[in-house]
Amino acid sequence: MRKLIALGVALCLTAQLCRGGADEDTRLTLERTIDKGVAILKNKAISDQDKLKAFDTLLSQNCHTELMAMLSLGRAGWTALDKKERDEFVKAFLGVITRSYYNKLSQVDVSHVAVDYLDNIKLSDTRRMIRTVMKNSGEGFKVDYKFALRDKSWAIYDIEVEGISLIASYRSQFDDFIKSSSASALLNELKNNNRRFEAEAVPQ
Amino acid sequence: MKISVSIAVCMVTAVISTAWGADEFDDFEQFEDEIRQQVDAVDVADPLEQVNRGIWWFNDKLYFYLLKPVAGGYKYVTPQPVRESVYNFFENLAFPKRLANNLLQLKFRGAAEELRNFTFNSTAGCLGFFNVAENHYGWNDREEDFGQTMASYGAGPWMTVHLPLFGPSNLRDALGRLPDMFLDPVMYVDSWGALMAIRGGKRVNYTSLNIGFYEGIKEEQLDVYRFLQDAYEQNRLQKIKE
Repeated sequence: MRKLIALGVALCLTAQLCRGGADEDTRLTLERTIDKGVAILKNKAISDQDKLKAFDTLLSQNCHTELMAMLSLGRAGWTALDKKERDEFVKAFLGVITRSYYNKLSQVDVSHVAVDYLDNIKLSDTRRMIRTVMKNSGEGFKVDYKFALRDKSWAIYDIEVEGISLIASYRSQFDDFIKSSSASALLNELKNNNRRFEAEAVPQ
Repeated sequence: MKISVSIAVCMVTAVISTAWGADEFDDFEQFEDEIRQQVDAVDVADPLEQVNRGIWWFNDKLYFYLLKPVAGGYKYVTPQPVRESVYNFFENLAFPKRLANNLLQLKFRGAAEELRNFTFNSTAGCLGFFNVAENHYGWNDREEDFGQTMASYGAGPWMTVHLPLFGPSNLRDALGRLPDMFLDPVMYVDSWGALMAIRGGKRVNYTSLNIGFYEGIKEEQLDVYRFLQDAYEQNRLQKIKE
């Protein structure tokens, strides 16, 4: 279960992502990014609602959200949606990711989180992977950040914690859902879930 | 004829590219292949899905109606450092299992590191209540169990199994729990009642350190059962590769 927590924490720590040039070292960018993410999380002047909004904005600006959404949906699902639905799906999937780390974030004291950088691996000309160990209260988790190059900037498209891939996990569920229903129904399901969460998250 | 085939291939490729939106992501296919391989690698047969889902439902109720309330009360009266120390103690106690399975997989370096960590934690770490090996020296446990040992000799997961009390697993790992059980020193406690109390206490302590996380999963996943099985298999695959 702790690995799943780490998945959420890793995601939130990397909300501010690599927008540097193509030749800029991804590790330095990630280090800078994590520092900024931790700073936001430690800021007690920001309410949980504001943190949620802040990270939603950072993710939408800096994650490769379109690629993440496409990969989570897969070829069959993506092509079944029209242009408007695809845009909506990207937005809805961003909401899912935001909710995912927001939930876990409230469970973790980020002041005890430290990151050790292990490797920076070139997967291809347009893909990189940075391997890290994230330590939370003494316990270490292997966290791999996968980057895609687009428009001369690096952006994360997947995070793997102890081998558990964020995208692959959603892909399995979405595949099952589409088999028994449709990609459009999945889109509606995600939108409804996001709306319900937003309603519940509003302070009374 | 060859020209016709070439034209047909080009046309099909063009149609596929258009459908994907080639201008959106130049090399999308390599990303798609990567994720597809990851998903397929952990797609384990689940012929007993209805039974497994029933067991998951049982575990879910057990968590919310028994384990969570008890762990919550325990958490309220027990400071976190104490609970973490209890967790460390039981982890250190699982040394024989890790050592034996490292040796069975011929991972002699891992076995040596396990021996080193156990020695440090049992002495400087006050019987393992403090994980000095990891916290002060950065020496992690070399986690190995009999499921991984079987996998290292070519055994596949065979089929999905969701275990009462323990949750997601597969047939190989479920069977692997048996030999591992006999390597757990707690098993050799004389009294059955004491054994159950220790095992129950260990579980309550672990749960107290993780309250809220399962609730988060339930809230954010479309199919919790599928997610748990999938995450389990992905994690196991990673451990087996190491």
